[in-house]
Amino acid sequence: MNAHVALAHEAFDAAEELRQFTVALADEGAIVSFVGRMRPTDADGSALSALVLEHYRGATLASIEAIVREAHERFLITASRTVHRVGAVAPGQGIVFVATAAAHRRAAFEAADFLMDQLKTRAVLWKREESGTGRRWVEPAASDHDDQARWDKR
Amino acid sequence: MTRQTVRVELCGKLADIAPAAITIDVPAGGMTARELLAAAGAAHPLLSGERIKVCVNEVVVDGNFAIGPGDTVALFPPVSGG
Repeated sequence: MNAHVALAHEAFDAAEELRQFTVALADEGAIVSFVGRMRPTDADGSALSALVLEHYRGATLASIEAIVREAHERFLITASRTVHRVGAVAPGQGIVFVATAAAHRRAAFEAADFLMDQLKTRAVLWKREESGTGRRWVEPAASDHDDQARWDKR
Repeated sequence: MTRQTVRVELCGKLADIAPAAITIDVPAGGMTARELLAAAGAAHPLLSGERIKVCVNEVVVDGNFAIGPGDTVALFPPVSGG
């Protein structure tokens, strides 16, 4: 399985991640990449200063590796690259980078979509929004669980 | 006989409602993850609830998993990445 999985304790460069992913590929016809970035405001539109992602020992990386393994078993992808931030993320910075490669586009799109839906609800991470007035823990929304459940029916 | 305990780390928001770690007494015959969660909930009411998962030695376990004094134990509230 050609899969790179990493936790990033500092800001990552999404363009560089995609470059490194691409140069290691063979002759795949499709590459899909996704970057999730921190929005500068919360759901109510109030300004945020940071999004803090707490992780737990080896369990966090292991949980992401398990999700990536599933993606490789489920879709006809040849390679993937998953980088997830931990620690304090500033507005505009990347939170997660996912890239997939396949002979044809459908598998690459679906695997990237699957990876993101699973990371939202299964990666061992806890998110906390911080603002000038305090802090608030963020749990998966009902829509995140719905997004994950889409893959159960297939 | 010396009293046996297990240190339980609290993750995410759980660390806000109790200290970063609590100590739970372990009976001589050991205890299950379900019993540990019940003991944690008795010590700190906010640590009870079916949405909390028990992690032993970095793996989330089910309620019947047997926990001993040497284990590394943590309580997980609902997780969310991405």
